[in-house]
Amino acid sequence: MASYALFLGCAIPNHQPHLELAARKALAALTVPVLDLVGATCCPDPVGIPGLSHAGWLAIAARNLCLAEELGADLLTLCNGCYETLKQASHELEDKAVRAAVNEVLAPLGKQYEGKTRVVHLVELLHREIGPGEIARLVKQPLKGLRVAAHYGCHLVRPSEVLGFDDPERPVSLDELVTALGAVSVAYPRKMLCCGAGVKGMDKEQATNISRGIAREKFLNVKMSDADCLVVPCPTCMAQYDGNQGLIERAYGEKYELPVFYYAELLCLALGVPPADLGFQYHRVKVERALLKVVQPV
Amino acid sequence: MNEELELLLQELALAEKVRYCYQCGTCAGGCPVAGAEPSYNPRRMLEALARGEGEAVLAADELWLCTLCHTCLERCPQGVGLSHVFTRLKEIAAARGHLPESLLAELQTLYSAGRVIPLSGPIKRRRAQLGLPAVDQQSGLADLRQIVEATSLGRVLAAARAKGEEKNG
Repeated sequence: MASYALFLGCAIPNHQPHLELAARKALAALTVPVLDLVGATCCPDPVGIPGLSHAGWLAIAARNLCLAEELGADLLTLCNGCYETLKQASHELEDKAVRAAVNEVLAPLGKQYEGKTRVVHLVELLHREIGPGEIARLVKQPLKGLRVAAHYGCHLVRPSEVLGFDDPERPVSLDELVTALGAVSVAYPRKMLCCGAGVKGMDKEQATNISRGIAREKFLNVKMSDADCLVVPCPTCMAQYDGNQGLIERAYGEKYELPVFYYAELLCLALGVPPADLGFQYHRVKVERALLKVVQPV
Repeated sequence: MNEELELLLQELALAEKVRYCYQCGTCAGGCPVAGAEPSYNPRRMLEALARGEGEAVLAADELWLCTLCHTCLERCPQGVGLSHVFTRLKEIAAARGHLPESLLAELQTLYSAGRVIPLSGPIKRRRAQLGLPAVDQQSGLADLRQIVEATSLGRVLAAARAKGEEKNG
């Protein structure tokens, strides 16, 4: 297996480090060779920054790609946003003229990008390079009976022409990875709906209301499926569904009480990592009820 | 400022594909923002562009509501690449100083901290509690600032600063 330079991004290490903990533990349990990426900055944010300056966004991303290239490693992201930015940027930098122009910006920093870095998302690594079959074989504590609603998020699969991973409308990878753990991946309406966290807007209140309205539709749809929990592959979707769930409940006068897991957390549990070794105390929506279905109380 | 880079990126822009739009409305039907906020309608934005009313689109607050979920880009039967077109339009609007406060704050944080979400004291402690390694947030910062200043990100930042000084002065 190739070695992977771990690109942490912003939202995981600086906002939800318990997701980093789960990812690191899962990678260690699967003996994936991981290198730290010293000097990395923001990817930068694929929703906001290109709308201010495509050139600046691309050059900052190219610099991050350089760091992995210097290590001779593939770049591993734990976040859909970082995946979109870095993979879209590496795609645009395949054009020699674009690469030459970006390298002019990087030259004063002593950096040159040669176009060698391959960008891989954690879900892509698990599904395409390790495989659900191998993961199922390694499971020690099957998550039997746990009903999981898989949420892919947008930037794991779209734009499909550039990301080239799974179907943009009817993906299967995350569902297969859920099933590999012994859990049930439930069907629910509008599965590919955006989490809504990316709404910016000139009018802050309007943007917040739209963002919450989009997330609410997800909660209502998932509740119809009688799922025990949601699983996400992205810290931004996690912050929206876990961090903001209480605010959305209050805004609409509804109760969802839907635990949200980052996929690496479920993977850790199935691989036999004790729940006390993960950071479940930092989830905003209590996960105990879902955990009790599959893990023996300590 | 690297003018050559700016021009190359302009060429990459997909705005000219706008004329392929035949107003079927698939974009509006699948748009999560349009579903939550009826005043937002990507089909109408395309219609305005085709009619030569681009200035109105650039000035409209709605331009900034796109979450970049790329559902329209995937579904458009004419391959207009709407989400990329909207991003290009945002860039033009931002160059004129028309952008959300929240996005300007994001850019300022990016410039000062090297990340759009900076590391706070409580999270630093939480990392230690969880046994996670300290994260190096400094060694790339000077490089990032140099890139911001060498590209149009620096112009957006400078314009915003000037505007702020005008307001305070």
